[in-house]
Amino acid sequence: MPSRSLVTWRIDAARALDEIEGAHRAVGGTGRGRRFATQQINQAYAVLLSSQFQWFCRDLHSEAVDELAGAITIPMIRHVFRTQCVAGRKLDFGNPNPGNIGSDFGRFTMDFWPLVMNSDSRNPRRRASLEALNRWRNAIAHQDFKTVLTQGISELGLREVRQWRTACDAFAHEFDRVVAAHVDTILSRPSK
Amino acid sequence: MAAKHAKSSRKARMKVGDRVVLHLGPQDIFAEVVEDRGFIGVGGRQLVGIRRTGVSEELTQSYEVPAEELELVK
Repeated sequence: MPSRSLVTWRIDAARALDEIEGAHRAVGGTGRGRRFATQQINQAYAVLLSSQFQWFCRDLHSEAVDELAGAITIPMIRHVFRTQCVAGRKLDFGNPNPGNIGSDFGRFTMDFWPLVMNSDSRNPRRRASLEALNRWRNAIAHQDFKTVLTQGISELGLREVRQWRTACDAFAHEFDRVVAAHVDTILSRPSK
Repeated sequence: MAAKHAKSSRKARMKVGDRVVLHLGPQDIFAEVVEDRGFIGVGGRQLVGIRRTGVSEELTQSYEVPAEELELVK
């Protein structure tokens, strides 16, 4: 059964992202004005995708902390555990880039990325997509496109954002599975 | 880590701005709810971000607890 975080990703995040897709389709015409408008929508789409994926990762982390904390019966120790699990958590303020994700889930003594990378041969490519998404997210947020310039072109295509979304969706399911399995291992219970 | 509902499908029990107390055995921690994290806890319980009150912001940071472990301060 999926985590609450994954359910939210599938329903709430998908709805928000689909609305941006709808906005893209709603922009009519064929002239330069349309090209400018769709570029702004593509950029908004990328930023929203990054923020929704950050939300998912952060929720999944919180959910895991609550599961693990439930195994601690002494209130004060449980409290210390909770505070230390989220103190300075990178997903609270940083992009959902592979480094931040690996660092936060690594607090659970898991080799997060090796586990994810070994579970599907497509995951290295998905990880590269996640890195590209966050590079673009930063470029858009800071209006500094030097790091994403390709042959002097700083335009973002709808096709790229859709590829990133597909990668994020696949990772949401992978993350959910590997984190749940690791929590089950820590709590010495059979995986569901 | 299983669930059936989305974050927005329930009425929040605690809300941002609520003054609360967390009972930790012999110690009480007074705090303010600073973030509603939604119903993502075990069994779908609400998690909230709280920050201790009466302590300088530089000396404390927010952390997450289940709302059901908190008592509202009137």
